[in-house]
Amino acid sequence: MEKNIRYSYMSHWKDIPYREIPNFRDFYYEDKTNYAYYQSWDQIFKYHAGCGYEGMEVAPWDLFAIRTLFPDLREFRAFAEERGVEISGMFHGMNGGRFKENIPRNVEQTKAAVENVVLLGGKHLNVCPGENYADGGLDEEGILNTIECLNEMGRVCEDNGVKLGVHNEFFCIMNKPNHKRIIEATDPRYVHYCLDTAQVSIIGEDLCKFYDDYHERIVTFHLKDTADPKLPDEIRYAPFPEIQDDGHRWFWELGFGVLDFEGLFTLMKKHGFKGWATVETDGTPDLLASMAYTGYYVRNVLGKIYC
Amino acid sequence: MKIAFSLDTVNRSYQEPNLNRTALKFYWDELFKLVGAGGFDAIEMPFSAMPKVRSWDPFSKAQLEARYGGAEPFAKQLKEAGISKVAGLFFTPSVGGPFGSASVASADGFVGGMKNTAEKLLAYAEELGCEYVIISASPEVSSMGGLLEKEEEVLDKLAAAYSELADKAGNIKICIRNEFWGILRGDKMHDFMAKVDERIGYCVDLAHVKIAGSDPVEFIRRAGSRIGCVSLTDTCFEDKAECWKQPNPLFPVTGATQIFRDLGQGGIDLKGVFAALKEAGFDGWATVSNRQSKQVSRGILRARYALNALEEV
Repeated sequence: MEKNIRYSYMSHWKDIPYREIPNFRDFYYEDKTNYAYYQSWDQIFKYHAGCGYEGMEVAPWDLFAIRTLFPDLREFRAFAEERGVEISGMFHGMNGGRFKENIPRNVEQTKAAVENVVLLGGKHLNVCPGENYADGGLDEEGILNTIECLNEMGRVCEDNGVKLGVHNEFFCIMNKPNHKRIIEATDPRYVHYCLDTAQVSIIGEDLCKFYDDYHERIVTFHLKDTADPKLPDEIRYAPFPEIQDDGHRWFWELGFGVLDFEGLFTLMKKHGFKGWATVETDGTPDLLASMAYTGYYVRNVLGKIYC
Repeated sequence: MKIAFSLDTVNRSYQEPNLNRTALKFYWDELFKLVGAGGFDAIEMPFSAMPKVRSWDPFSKAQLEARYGGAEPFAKQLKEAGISKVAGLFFTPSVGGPFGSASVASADGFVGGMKNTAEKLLAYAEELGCEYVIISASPEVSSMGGLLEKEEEVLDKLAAAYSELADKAGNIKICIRNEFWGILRGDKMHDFMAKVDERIGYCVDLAHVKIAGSDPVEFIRRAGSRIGCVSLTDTCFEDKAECWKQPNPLFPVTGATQIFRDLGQGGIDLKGVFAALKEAGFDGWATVSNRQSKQVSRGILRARYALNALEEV
């Protein structure tokens, strides 16, 4: 039976220094720690496939180190696919698009990003539309410029067969006072939405209602849990709230927080969602354990509702 | 001789199990206590002109102010952890940075970029009360492109820039590190230093010197009174395949290996090194630098064990 949802895992692996490690046993014996198990893309991709993930989403800051090993990104794609993993897409940041004069630069940066996504075989460019809220929220002009910028960026993506997905961050300028307006005012032909389940819930939205309301625009997901939905504005709008000094985690593996994923998956079934969903476990102290755990959860818990 | 411990032991870029924790401030807060508990009362830090995204290390002025309250509260925090001083800072200039292009770099551009960052480094070092800064002579030669064809020009301009920096350094000693992958690798450094302002010192980095094919003990003897600081690094790596020429030489294409070992775990003749430093009358900072450590806490104790064994020297 063909599956509706293909699962990808967000790359939070930082830089990986080797393609493969043919001298693995010798490398291990050098210091006899588990370090040797995390040093090659060969291992990382096999962990993805072993945990049931068909895809990996990359971030632009990964590309410099990847290109050191794979100067042609098509090589990286082939290397991944040989191990059963596709690159589902890439994250991207809008850079000052709230100011009119920055729109052309963002369009150029989107062209470069989309070129990389295409080389990688990806389908999605998930875009954080703006700076931290603490750097200044969006005024009316900023909202209109953001809308125009997203439309222009989305057109570039669509022309190249890539879907631009707007991606909220709970601490960024596209936020509770304006994010629905921006979604509704952007051109649905070019601008889609990547629903980050935790970010939207932390902002203060009801996850299931938000999906139900905007399902036609939602082309992909970042699936992660949180124990802090409806976080007060004064925390979200403070400087640098994303990483807390005391190690408090905003994001948890699916099922470790309080979000209603069973309700969400029931709605995904109702609306017939088809496509990539990226499981994200930023904040975990152990990426491999989180990958294995979430792989189980999406197959054996959520998969019973919709797969 | 004064002993410090370098926070370059923490890998912030390359994957290792549980790397993500190093983004968190509580990781650093605890690390200072562990360094102090390991018997080190001074530290060395990397310097970042721009804060590393999503990382609350104290390596940039912006993050120090945002997360540690500034230099004074930071010093107080260190003191409570048993650390009395930030002895030094270091940085490695790049050719245009990771998103730049070596092909468009000019000698003036490279040296100017180095100088610009070094001025910020000196200002931050002064604020923290450091006694030395280390500037790498160059990034990896593999990233330098056309600059390698203008090596003489680059070195002349570097020497002039170092003099200008020394004018602004006050009591902070500027020391030059010659990585095994850089343009002044190994004994090539001596000819360069003979032409450079005498206020500029060597950073004798033991592992780099050895991997480049020089004998660290002999290197120290030749550097003599020009030694500004010492990086106590260890290694077992022999660069038989000239990996120093490859991109990212920290990870040789000839096979995975840990180039830098925790102090005492490699093949450096530490007794010979300490004896040579004593002969040279060196009384500056020698800083333990457990780069690529696989377990930071274990590395602190390994280094302490190695230093204890050298006490009589």
